[in-house]
Amino acid sequence: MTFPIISFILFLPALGAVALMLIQFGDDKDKDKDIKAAGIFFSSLTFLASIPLLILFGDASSSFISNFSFEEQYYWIDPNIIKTSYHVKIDGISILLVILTTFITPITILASWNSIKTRVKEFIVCILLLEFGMIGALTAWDFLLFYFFWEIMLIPMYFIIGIWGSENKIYAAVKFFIYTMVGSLLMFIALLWIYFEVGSFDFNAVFQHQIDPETQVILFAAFALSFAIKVPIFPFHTWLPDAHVQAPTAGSVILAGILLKMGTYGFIRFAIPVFPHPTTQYADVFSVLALIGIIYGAMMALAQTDIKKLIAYSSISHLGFVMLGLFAFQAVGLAPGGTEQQYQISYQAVQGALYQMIAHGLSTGALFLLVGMIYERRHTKEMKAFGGLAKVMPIYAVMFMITTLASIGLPGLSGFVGEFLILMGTFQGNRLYGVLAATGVILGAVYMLVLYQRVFFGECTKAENLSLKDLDAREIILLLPMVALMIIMGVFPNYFLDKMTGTLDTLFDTIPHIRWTS
Amino acid sequence: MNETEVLKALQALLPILIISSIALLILIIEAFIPPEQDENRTISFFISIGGMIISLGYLIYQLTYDVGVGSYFGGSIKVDHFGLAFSIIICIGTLMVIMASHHYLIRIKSNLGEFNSLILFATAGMIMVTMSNDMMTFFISFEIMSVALFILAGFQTKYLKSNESAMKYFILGSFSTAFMLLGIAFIYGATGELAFDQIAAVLDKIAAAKTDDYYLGLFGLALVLGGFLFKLGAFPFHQWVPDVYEGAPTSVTAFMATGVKTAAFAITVRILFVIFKAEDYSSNWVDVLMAVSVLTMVAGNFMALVQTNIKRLLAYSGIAHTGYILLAIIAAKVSQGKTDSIDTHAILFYLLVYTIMTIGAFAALIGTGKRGLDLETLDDIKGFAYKNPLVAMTMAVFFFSLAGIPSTAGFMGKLFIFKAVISAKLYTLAVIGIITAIVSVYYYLRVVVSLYYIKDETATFPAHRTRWNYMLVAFVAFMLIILLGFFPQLGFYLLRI
Repeated sequence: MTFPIISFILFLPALGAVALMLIQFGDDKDKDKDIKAAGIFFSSLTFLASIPLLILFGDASSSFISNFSFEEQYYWIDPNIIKTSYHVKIDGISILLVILTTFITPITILASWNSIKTRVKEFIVCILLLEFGMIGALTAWDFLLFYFFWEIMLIPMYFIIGIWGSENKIYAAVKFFIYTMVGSLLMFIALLWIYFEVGSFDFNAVFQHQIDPETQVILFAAFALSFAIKVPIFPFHTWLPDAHVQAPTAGSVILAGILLKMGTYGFIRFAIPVFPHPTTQYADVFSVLALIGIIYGAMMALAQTDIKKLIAYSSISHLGFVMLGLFAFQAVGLAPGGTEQQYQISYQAVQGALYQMIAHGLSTGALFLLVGMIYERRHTKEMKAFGGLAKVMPIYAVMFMITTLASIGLPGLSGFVGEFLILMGTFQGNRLYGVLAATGVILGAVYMLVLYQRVFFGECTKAENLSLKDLDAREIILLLPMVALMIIMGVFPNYFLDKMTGTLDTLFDTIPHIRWTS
Repeated sequence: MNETEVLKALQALLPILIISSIALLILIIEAFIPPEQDENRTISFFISIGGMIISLGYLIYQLTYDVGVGSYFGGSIKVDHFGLAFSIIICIGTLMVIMASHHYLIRIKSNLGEFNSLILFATAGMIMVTMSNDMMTFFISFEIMSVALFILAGFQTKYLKSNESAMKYFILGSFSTAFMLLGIAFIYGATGELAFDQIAAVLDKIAAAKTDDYYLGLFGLALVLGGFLFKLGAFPFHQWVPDVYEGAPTSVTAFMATGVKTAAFAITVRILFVIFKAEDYSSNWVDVLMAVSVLTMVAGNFMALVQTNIKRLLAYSGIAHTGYILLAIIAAKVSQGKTDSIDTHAILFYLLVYTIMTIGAFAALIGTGKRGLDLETLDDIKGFAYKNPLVAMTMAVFFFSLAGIPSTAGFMGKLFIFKAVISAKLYTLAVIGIITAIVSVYYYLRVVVSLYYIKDETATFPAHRTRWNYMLVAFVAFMLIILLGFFPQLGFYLLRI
């Protein structure tokens, strides 16, 4: 008998949210703490349940593997009315992102232990529903189900920004909502179109179906716009700094850690199997936009004085790398019989992009946590207000340093592996792109180190800063696993890369996507 | 007609009998309660709730086990799956409206007993509308429904807007009824028949022969359709809707927006698909409905953008939703082909969802007010979420559902409609529908933003207590919206699609 592990980790957060809504907590002072503890309980349980997934995935030698199923399919809506089913599956592309989601959620709740004081129950319910939506979107193996969860993510995030955000939250929340909603409705139209082309919403059916190239271009445009807004790719990025700055810490962490990855996940999941034609044809467009994102994001980050805004722009730059990796093509030799050069999407770069998604989720998530901690103490995010913190808060400074270095991509830390693979793949395909992207790495080091220097080095001149308390046990506990994982992912990248290979191999073997140049 | 036939008919029409006899019973009981004993009037509330639950249960039993399906009283009443499914939706709506009206009526100092009895009369009329199978039965039951609603619209007798609302509704409604009656006369003139089946048979022959009577029938079709479009609040007969909805007591507005619409859609579908099924007629009404549905969606959604009064906003949104359901009707006709069966799943599911979420939204809106203070505008409800989070949360979900956001039933409703429309290869209509749906997100979101609006972080909000009956309606509607959003199949089981 196989245990429906995917459904279990998918519905556990939703169950937790419903339970929290129904349970009446007493009116005493500890009520809020109880609610948060309950939230941590449900999300940690989800994380614990997802660990066997990671260990067993791709490990055929394990004797336990037969007890777990990585694919489930059940009846959902009458197939005479609409051909869809509850079909969830985890493969090499989604496994690490699912683990990242279940890993980060309890940390965000713990991070909100002191900072969220109003309407705690609703907040925890929103976070749990958000986790439900994210796991659902990552595991869905049916277009309708995917769209369904895709939108479920939207509403809790809208409330998290709109209710628990800072001064200008309504503006940021509405901007976030409208941007994403426009994108998703375009995707919805494309989904319906695909449904009538293929006759089913199921991924398997859609992946096997060959849509004619001209239709592919239109459909890809709708999908790409929706994902591009979510990533966000330049020029659809303007909602991101607003949303990040206004969102509470937990919101920022989830937004940067997982929600942004939904866009790149969408590209990697659909671009190659469903839209091979436009993906190859317009790869240069995406590469150029990604490069603009890398450099523009880095330049904007350099110009910021608000720490949170700086990290928000650094996200745009880092996700530019991911996009560059997903659309990197490299020469694979001459076409049979002709003189034309054949290009194929770079395996390394795609693998690197996937790795970078996880690494960025970890490092940027941790950076937002760190900013949140200092904001709780000083109620400002301006760089000017700090300086010389290394002496006052040594543990904080160490954590910040490791995270900063991971974000820059120092060898031995998580950020390096992904960026290295992406740059290698890009360089083989197009030297210019590779060189330009490499300048992004340098700029990244500049703005992060400038940030670090301004906040931590020098004399502690401001009187308010002298009395700052260093991290307490709770804060260390929530940062340690993230920092540890950054190091593990930097030192043992193969364990994580191996999880992807099986799926990526089939992706590349079954559909050779050749771009012809004339 | 012998005794057993009468008994069979009564068994089949039991819900109508229960509802109308309870309506009469309430009037009699009311006569014996002295005017100063207002609290005793709750008895009429409980009797009507009980009666509606029994009728609803019986209707579901009838639909599930095919009880009493057939023609009665010389074919003037026809109990079939189609009518029963619409009746179930109507009864769900009525039950929720009665539930939501209870304390509200005391609050607006209206008479509880008469209100419940009028609502029940209207409901009996609506159920008869869905089951009627000849022109006379249809017309009379349509009038039973309309007359009760004319009174209900003006039920807040001391409130000027309510009087205006009733007056407008009555005069315009009478006009539309007169035109509809003229249409029925034309049809009778063309065919010499009143029963739907016979009219259909004659019209088929006339349409094939293209005699003068064909054009007479066409006139009849135009006038009857005009009457229906008026009741549905479709373009260009939608101008009365916002005024009437705004002035009428909120629970009556909820009833008008859902029950009347469901009944009117039932009879519209029956008359268009049964009587005017001949190709020469159907091509005409499909073309007209296409134009009407597009204009209705556009007018409703774009006018709603600038509304600040939530009742008016919901009125325009109701107009827009009429447009979506009209799309489903067109799609059903276009993809019907030569068969006699009508694929009503999109229409029925949407009406079910629309009924639940609209009444839920109105009930939550009633719940935001208290004696002497009804919150109606977007400014009024600013920050309400901090006074009563539970009501605000359900309200937000209803508005998300109206906007068609996934995980709510509103999304599933729109999905089935657009899927049906695209199946019928009506791409332009689908695109217009989806674009107007995108527009609608903006104004529904405005309400949610208002609910959670906070100007000053430190401001304190007095807690707002909400009566149990509004909470019950809002909570049940909330559960149904989420449940149907995740498992639309439940709706299909209920309506036996």
